Amino acid sequence: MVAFTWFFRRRKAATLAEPWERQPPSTLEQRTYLEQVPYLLPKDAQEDERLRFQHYALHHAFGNHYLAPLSPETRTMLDVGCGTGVWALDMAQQFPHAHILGVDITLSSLPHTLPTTCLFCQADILQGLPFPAQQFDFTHQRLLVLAIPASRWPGVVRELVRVTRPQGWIELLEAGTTVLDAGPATERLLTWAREISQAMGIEISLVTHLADFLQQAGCQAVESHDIPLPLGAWAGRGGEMLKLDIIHTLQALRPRTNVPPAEFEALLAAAVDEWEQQHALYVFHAAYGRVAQL
Amino acid sequence: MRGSLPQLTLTREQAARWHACLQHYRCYAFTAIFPCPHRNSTLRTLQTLQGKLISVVDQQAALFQLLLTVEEMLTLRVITTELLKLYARQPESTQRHALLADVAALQAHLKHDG
Repeated sequence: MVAFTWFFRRRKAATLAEPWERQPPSTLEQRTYLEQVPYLLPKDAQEDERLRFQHYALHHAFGNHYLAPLSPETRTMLDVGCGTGVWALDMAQQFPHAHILGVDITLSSLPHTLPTTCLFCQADILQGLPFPAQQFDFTHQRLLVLAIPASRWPGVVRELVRVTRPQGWIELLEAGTTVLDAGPATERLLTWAREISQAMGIEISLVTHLADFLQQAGCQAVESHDIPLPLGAWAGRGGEMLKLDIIHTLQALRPRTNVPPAEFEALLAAAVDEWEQQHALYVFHAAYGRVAQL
Repeated sequence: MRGSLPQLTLTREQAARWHACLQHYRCYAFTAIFPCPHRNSTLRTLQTLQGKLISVVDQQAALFQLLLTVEEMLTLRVITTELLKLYARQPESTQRHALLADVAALQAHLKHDG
């Protein structure tokens, strides 16, 4: 484990209680939410299950766990906002010689058994990563838009660039609020999601600017993709998986608002009907780029 | 068996054109083809190939050889054919002619070297 000797030196410090741990999480309608961090989704066993399911839904859709054109010799990887650790664990299988480090604001969702090539560390990207500069060949961050206030995006991407080696890759993958071929119920749900996000300083529409953030932070060879994915059982298993994931994500956000459960469920059912009838597509946004050579 | 693997001999300029071709096909496939095992397998192969291409270009040599798997070679043949069809359907323009010429040259190179 030569690659991460500095990590072990810092490990003790990383296990000290962080501010959000000193403040107990809040419970809303039997869902647990972290306090003092701008994270809209719950942090509980049900959410962990959704995140694992989402990981496989995305793999089914994209056919891979990453999109950047990595060299097979990629040796060190960082996953920012690692959640359940499932991305790191699957990448460890795909790159058996790589050392993979995951960070998240809490490590409560990790499995008990981990491969020796995977390490996890408690850290908050909004507070800066606890690593020296230029440590990773590949830095990966996905689906963190509901955890990053709009004003913090440029700084977050600069921090990802800082810890990535020259000529290493950074990849960002996010889902926004663009659903093609849907209808009024879907639009109402998406408007509602945008409004509760904005109340916490989060701007979901920024996910269409991932490539700009990478370029502004000095990345080169930046490529971006807007990827429409079929949403609904009309498109087979992949569409059904994405539909379930979106339904559970929206349901996880609802306790953050004053919308009555019955009203919300009726609107959600109408939206799902639109997805199935009109063959809706949910757009994901990906961008990756290389850190400039010194 | 390694000696029997196909290989492409590329100049830096050809490598850049191959790279642009792979990028363009990946963009096209992500937006225009629904996810399915065949699309995803092609995209994975192209992604790996793009990574290999970048690795050899990073070595700064004027001329280099790219060792391909049989699957990669077959995938390249398929996507150059598909890109030719795609560009042929686009409206007349100088850019369309340039793209057609580029992909046709790459396809010829593939037949010659592969």
